[in-house]
Amino acid sequence: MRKKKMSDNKRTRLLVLFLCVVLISSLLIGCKSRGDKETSSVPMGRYMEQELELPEEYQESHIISILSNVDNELEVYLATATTMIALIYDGESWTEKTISWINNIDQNKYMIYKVILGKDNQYYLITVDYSSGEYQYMIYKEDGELAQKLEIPWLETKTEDYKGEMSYPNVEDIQVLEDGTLVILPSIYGESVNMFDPSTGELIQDYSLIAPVAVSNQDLIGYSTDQQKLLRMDKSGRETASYVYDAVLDNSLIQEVDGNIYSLNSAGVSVLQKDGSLWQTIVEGGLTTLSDQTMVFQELAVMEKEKAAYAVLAYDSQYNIKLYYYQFDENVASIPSTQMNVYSLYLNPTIRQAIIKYQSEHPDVLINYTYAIENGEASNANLSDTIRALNTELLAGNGADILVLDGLPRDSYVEKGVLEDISDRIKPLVDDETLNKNIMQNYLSDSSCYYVPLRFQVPLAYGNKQVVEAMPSLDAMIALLENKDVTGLFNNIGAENFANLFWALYSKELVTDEKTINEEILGKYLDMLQLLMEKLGEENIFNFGTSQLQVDNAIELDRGFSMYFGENNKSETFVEQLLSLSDSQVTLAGAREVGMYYDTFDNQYIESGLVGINKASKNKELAKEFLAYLLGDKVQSSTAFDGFPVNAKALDGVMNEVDTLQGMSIAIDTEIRQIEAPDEKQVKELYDKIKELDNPISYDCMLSSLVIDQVKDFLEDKVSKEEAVQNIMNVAKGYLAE
Amino acid sequence: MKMGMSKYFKTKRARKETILGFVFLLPSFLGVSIFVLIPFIDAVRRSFSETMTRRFVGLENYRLVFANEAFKLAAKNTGKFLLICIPLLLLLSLFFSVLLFSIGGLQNVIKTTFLIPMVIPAASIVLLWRVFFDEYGMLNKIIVHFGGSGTDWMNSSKAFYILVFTYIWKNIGYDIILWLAGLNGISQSVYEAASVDGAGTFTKFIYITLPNLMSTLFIVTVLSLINSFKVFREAYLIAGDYPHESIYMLQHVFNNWFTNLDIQKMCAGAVLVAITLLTVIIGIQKLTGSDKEEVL
Repeated sequence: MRKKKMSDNKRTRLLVLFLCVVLISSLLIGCKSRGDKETSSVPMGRYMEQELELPEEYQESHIISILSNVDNELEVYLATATTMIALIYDGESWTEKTISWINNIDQNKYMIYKVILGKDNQYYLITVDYSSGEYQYMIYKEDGELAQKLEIPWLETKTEDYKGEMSYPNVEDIQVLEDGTLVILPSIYGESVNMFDPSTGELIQDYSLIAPVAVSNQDLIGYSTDQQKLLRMDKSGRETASYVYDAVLDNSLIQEVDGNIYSLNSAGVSVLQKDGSLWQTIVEGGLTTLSDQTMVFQELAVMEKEKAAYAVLAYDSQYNIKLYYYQFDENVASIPSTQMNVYSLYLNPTIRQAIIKYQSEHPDVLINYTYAIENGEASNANLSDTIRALNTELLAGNGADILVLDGLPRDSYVEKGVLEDISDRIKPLVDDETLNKNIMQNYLSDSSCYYVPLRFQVPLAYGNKQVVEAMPSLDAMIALLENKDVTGLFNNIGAENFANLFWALYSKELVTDEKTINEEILGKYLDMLQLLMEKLGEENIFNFGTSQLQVDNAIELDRGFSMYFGENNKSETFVEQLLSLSDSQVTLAGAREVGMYYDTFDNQYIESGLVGINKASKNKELAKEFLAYLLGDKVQSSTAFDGFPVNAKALDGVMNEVDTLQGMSIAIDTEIRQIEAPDEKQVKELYDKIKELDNPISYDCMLSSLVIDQVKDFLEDKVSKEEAVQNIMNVAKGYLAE
Repeated sequence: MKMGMSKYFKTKRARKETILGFVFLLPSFLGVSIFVLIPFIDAVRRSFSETMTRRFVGLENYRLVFANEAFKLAAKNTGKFLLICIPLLLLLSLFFSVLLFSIGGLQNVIKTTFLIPMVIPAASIVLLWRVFFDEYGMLNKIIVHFGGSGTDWMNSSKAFYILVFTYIWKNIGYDIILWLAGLNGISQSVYEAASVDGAGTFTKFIYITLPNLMSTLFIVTVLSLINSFKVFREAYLIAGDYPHESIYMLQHVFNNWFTNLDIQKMCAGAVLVAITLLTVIIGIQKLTGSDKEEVL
């Protein structure tokens, strides 16, 4: 009996031992590196993007429409100054096509803005009669050599619009079924798609669908907001099928070709095969310009041939029309062989645009761009957590290859050796004056350089000369405010905003190199704020001030730097933060029209897009190459509305684009003020000031928010000046001592 | 020591039981090693080296920490917090536990009431505190209603006392349970014998209850000390990375050093705190006599 028990025990132990061995072995197998056994065969073939250039003689023309013709070739419709032209692209070369039927329309009276090929294989176009100033839309159909106007009573009936005025209906897009039935989409936002009888022109169906909209031979396909799906509806208004669709609707297009539904959006071009249920990506958006969120897609042409091709017509961020062509290249790897990572706290528009351009020029490189905080919204706790997560990666020797240091502890990263010395790439560019020497000298020491800005922004004051001249100096401001008769002060934007503005302007004096607050200067700063608020009155104190690091995708300082009211008033002073040349129009109009004086703050500028390379990067050379690309003409010349270029040639180019400024109109209360574009002389004067900028505003958001909390108590008379100084010193001491 | 250990290996049976004991200990030892010991050894190593290059720098990081004003302020505040909170919590919880021990029927209900703050999540407490202690919160409204003037509780030196209150409020129930366990361990016959000898309630408390609670005192103190570091969650969620200087604790400075990638300073600071805590715990162990091996 005892023997049997012992033998059972032995068996149990053996079983436990066996199970342990199995468990440990499977764990170890899971940890095994798979690097060695990877096969050398790389999947090949990818749709490659090509920005189509029109033949030289048509380059001044404006592209109106694109479509895929009956031969499955790309047809492009262009408007010249006097006539319309159609070109056919077969994938290699261009040929001109006669379109006398279109040119029989009086183009001085009617503006043609879209040409389509219906499912009945007939051409149609949309024109708008702007001669009477009433913008009446009309639809024409090709009829041999002539254009035949479709009589649609609905288009000729005025209805009350959203402003309460009587106007003709809008036509955003048209589609035609196989039997000639006409489908009109009045607006991409409205929930109505109308279907008209081809013979009588009468409305036969009104569908509650929104864009994107397409037609098959007999059905209409559109998006239903109720069902949140694409619906296929027949002519009787009956739903015959539905498809899952997940995309940003107001920038998506769909097309139906031979039963397949093609979709275009920032994720790329995808297809839902006939009777299928899954969308397959054909053209990967992330590897092409299609992922550029600023692109507004106009038209998609699907050329279903032996080798399919796709064409996309879109407006870019500067409202330039672009035509992209996508062809399959079997000699290119499906996924780029080299990958690089870029990290930033906030979305940097310059970098985003540059990545798209760089990838299209380097098909073998994929750049993954991660920005941690969406829309610039983050509490301090989230921000700290995000930075700590990045630090953990950096400590482990990982992290992105390129770091955008806006909002990150950049000095600490330099001190700890996180960043690679990039002086070998930057110094030659500064020496040969490719990069703006005044700006770049702040980032170059004798032997090293760890990060550089991609852009710089220009804070300036405009209005009363006396005030503008006094602003850069704290003593001059106090002297000015102590003068009883002083006029031309600021519009009251709230004490918190003023406190932020002047903390940033005087931060170099307030915070010493020894990382302490200069008590004497702090006292003066509080005196100046108190004097200012007394002069401006108590109204609006602390009514709308918030510390905000990022506004509309651009790193900006607090709201004190945007007193953007557009008033044309020499007896008041305003502060503006210029992100692009067009931002200067209000300032320069004030200077031109009523003699407003403007100047920068002692040549101070605001850094934007500080870029450094991770020392632990495995792609250092590629990262350096991309950095050079970011600082090169191509990227720097494009406008991303996040600052002026640091590339000297690109800055010259931007400042010479006076003719691109078209003036603007701004609403001030109930009035609309028209602002004319500045002339060359004015822009030249501004350029001279911008070229002189050489002093970065050293601004610490966290410190300023800690200080402003205490300033608030002082300005609200809760504490005396001495107490406020002491409180600020205490608060700042801990922070600066860390 | 040798003699002490040898009894565990003297006989075959003792040896077998000792080995079995180690086998049972192994899983938790592995867990503690992976999640506590090895990271701590790494922190000690980092405290003597540069952050990224890992170059040995001797005691330089410790010199930096000792010279750092933020660390001094945080250490001062944390020390002050511990010196006020721990004795206060021990006394209050002991008082309530003795009171509870002496009453019968409602003991369970009152115990549960005291324990409720423990199960309230930190985020809810923060929300509650905002409602109460905000500049425009309930407390100020009540004070103003009775003719007083309100104050910004969390942005003034009063924030420290709010934190003390939070700690006591949250941990008193847990400590009461521990004390009650200790009180239950004292034999009733000892009290009865003392009563026969004419001892009053106070005398019994001083000469019977307190000496018998010494081992419980050690446990309660150590756990209260550990729990005191958890109050940082509330301070951080209410006031963020940079709260009022009166509640700027060691965890704040460590957290901010991590954000600035000052890992070397953070590790040196952590080692100093660990040494201090260890010294305090050993001291309490000696004082309460809990270091003496129990005779089997």
